[in-house]
Amino acid sequence: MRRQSRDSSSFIPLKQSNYRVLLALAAGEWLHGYAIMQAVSQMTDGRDAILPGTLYAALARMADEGLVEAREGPDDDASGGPKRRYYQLTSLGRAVARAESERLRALLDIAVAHRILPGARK
Amino acid sequence: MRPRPFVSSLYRLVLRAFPREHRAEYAPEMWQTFADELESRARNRGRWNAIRFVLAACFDAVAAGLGERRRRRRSDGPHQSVAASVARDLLHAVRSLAKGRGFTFVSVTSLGIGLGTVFFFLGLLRVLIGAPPGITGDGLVELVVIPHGELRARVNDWAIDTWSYPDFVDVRDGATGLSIAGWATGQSILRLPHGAGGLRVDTMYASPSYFAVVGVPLARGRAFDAAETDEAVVIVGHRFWQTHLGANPGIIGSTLVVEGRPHVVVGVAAEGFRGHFSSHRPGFQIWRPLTAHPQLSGPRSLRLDREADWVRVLGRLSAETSLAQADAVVQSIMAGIAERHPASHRLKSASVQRYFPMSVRQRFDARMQAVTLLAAAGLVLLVVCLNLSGMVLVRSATRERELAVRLAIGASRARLVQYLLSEALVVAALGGALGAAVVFLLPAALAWWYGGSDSELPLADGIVATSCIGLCFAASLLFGLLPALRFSRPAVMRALKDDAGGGRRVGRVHRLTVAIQAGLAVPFLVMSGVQLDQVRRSATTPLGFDPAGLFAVPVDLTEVAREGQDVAVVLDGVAADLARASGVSSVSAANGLPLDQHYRKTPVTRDGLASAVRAHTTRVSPGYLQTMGIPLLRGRGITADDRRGSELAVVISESLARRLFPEDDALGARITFALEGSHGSADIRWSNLSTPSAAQAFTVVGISADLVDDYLGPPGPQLFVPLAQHPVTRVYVITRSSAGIQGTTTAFEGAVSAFYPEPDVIRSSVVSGEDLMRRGRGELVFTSTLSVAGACAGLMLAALGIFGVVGFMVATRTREIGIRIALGATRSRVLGSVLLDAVKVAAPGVVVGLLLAFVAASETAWASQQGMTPLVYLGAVAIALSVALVAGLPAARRAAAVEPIVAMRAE
Repeated sequence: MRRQSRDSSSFIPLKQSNYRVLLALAAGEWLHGYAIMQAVSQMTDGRDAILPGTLYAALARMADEGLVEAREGPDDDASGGPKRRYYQLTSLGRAVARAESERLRALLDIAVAHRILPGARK
Repeated sequence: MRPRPFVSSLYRLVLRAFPREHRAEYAPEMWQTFADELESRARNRGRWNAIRFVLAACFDAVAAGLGERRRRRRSDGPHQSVAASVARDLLHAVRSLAKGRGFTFVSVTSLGIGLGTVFFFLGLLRVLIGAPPGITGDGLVELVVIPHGELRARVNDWAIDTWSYPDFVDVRDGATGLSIAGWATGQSILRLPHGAGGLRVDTMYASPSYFAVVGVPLARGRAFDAAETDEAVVIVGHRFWQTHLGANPGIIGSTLVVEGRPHVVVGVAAEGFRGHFSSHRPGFQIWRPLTAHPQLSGPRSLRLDREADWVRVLGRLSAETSLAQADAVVQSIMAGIAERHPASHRLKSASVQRYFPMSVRQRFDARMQAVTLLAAAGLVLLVVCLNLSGMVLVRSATRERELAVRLAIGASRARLVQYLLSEALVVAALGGALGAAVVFLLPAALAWWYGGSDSELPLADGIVATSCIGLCFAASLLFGLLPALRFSRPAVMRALKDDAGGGRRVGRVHRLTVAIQAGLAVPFLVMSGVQLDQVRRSATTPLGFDPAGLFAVPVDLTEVAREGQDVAVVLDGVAADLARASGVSSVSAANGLPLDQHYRKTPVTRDGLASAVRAHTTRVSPGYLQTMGIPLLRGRGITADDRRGSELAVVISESLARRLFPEDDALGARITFALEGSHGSADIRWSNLSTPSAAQAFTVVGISADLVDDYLGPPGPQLFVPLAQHPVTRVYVITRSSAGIQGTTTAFEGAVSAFYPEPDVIRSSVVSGEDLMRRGRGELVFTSTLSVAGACAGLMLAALGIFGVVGFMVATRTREIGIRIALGATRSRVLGSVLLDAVKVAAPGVVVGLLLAFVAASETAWASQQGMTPLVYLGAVAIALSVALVAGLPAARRAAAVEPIVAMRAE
């Protein structure tokens, strides 16, 4: 897999699907694809879902770019079915997730300043 | 719940949207994830939610897969964008075509011929059945009379598109929800201002509402006023205004002298508007009010005559009225008329039909022609494409090694197909440009070269141009795809080892196409042979009349007839005047001349004869045969005694006598036929009334020699009837004179000026026997040229096909040929066997073509060409086979030059 040493800011803005996957992996655990799907859904109380096509396109892309890393799962996988691959955030991935979150937070501040959102923050 | 097998297969199928590498790495996991989620949803949220998930996941997979493909292409390198690779392939194709000049020339020319033909057909269709510019067909309708029973049999058509004037007025005033305009055609003689002379112009007589109904507003001025009592007003056509009236900006309100009376110009028609029907018909130069039509003035006015049908009727539906409603209203009006006038209208009803640019009466025929034209165009395109596909196969077969190298160093199959197709695209674009240039620019270029005005036919417009470009793409796909698919997967190892291959066979489709083309060329060859022979014979055999010293001038006696005078008596006076002029030896009159390109044939029969014979009819005054120089073989000609009220007489020509009376004497016998446009001897009507009269019995009083009819060809059956018994108002006054064109024209000017409002029009109207001959020959040469061109095109296409097929055979059999040479076959033997293959490819087609030509010949007039036919057939076969040999020659020479050592190197 091609790893590129790029600055985290060069990934910004992130595609929504990528950002969601990064957030789902933010706890630092190794998760397989279906678990990531569920995590995305749970994060938003089922409001947002990510479908397998988008999910694996995002994972492939981010694995190429070094935002996530993958490893083969154990032979006796508890989830059943064929052997799965597990994914985890890399430090670059974490930095990118942080940079994107800060970008979004800046946008939120603007929305609050313009009274689009109530000023509940701080 | 695991996914059902078909859901599983569906998802696996849509996963193919992802690039292969991605699938290899992630597809099992993706499927697993999909299955897990599907199971969870089916269990927790129900079946419908699961189904929605399946659909959403499929769409998502396709979209994400295509995105992934794009991403991978981009990451493969900046030069790999599709546009850039296509551009590079096109550039490469141009270079490689520039190198293979022979191939490029032949393929571009042949595609040019094919696409040119197709473009021409498309343009022709546009002209024939397309609405003229500016006309919107929505809501525009034509009102027709539907004949029934005996009337229908007499008219021999489903509709009559002319109405009597009072019927038209009843419908116009009675129909609600429909604005109605009547129109009729005619000619007017017009004096141009500033002494520029007079000329005859095509005139439309139209109701005041005509322009509003058609929906084409005038460029200047106003339409006729319904309240206008004075009819001396005129609207001029835009082109006429520009070419003959100097585009005078003050034209509105000025006067033009029409038919000897000053008329006020009230309007100029819209630019490009020449009438509401399809563009192939000659348009009108001026419009005059319908009420000014000659039929509606004088003592013989048809204003109240319900039996003479001459007004054509257009209408426009109002917004609230449907076609069916309008139809019902018009039908009920017609039923009312039929009730009041049962004698004339018992067998008539009426109908409202949607507007068709060629008159609704011809709608069915025109559509059939259109379908035939389109089918013919499609066939031509298919044949050319199959031919080219054969040639591209040959070319690709010789480049198999190059393609194998490309494949070996990593080109994908799609990439190779794109590469091969780009060459086809360049050839199609060049061929299309050539065809379009010939079809659309050549007429204008020829007109410019000969100093004429350019054609007004809108052969090309946006729709035609778009279809042409589309056709080029379609053609490139059609002829490029098969070779591209076939050669984009060469057997790499074999091709790289320089194995010259073997075992590939030329497809049946290609062989069949070549045979069909050779077959199609044969009837064309026979036809052009017959026509060329006709040209030769027309120069040498007698026409049946003597054109030298013959002069004629057309005369319109409508005014005379309207004033109640006897046309025959007036013509006698003219003849007496002319006979006194110096040099004039004989004078007569007739409603037509030989070779005047005016079709006047009618079926003739007699008692006891089962089938009718078609004969060319001419209404003549006394002395006609002598004036025309037509030999009278027996009996007498038409004389002054054959007048109104006396027995109906006819002079027939020799071949007609022979065919009607093979054993008996024709002289004194009775024959039966109907004359067009004559309603009995007392009726003098506008000569374009075309409802045929009932057949009448005539007594044969004389037998003349045969002569040519309306077109140059072998002399054929003729009928001459007395003009006095069957009067018409448009006739030719004919003289035989030794005074030459100048002297005779002066004599004509003295004798017929009373019938010409503008005497200077006489000079340009005089026709000489030589003019007729020239026109007849010109027409014949034109049709022969067309047929020879058709034969040449057919032959050329066949030759290209044979070239392709035989070339491919040789290219794929190099090794076999090499072995044969190594085993001792002489080169001349190899040459002979390949040439034999070429003949074998063409032969079945030639045989079928010969049969086609025989059938066509027995069904049409060619059958009359006796004596030379076997020679023509033999010639056609010989030419077709020679062309096959010539087309096979390059491949045969290539085969004969094969070096055995090269051919077998791989072994």
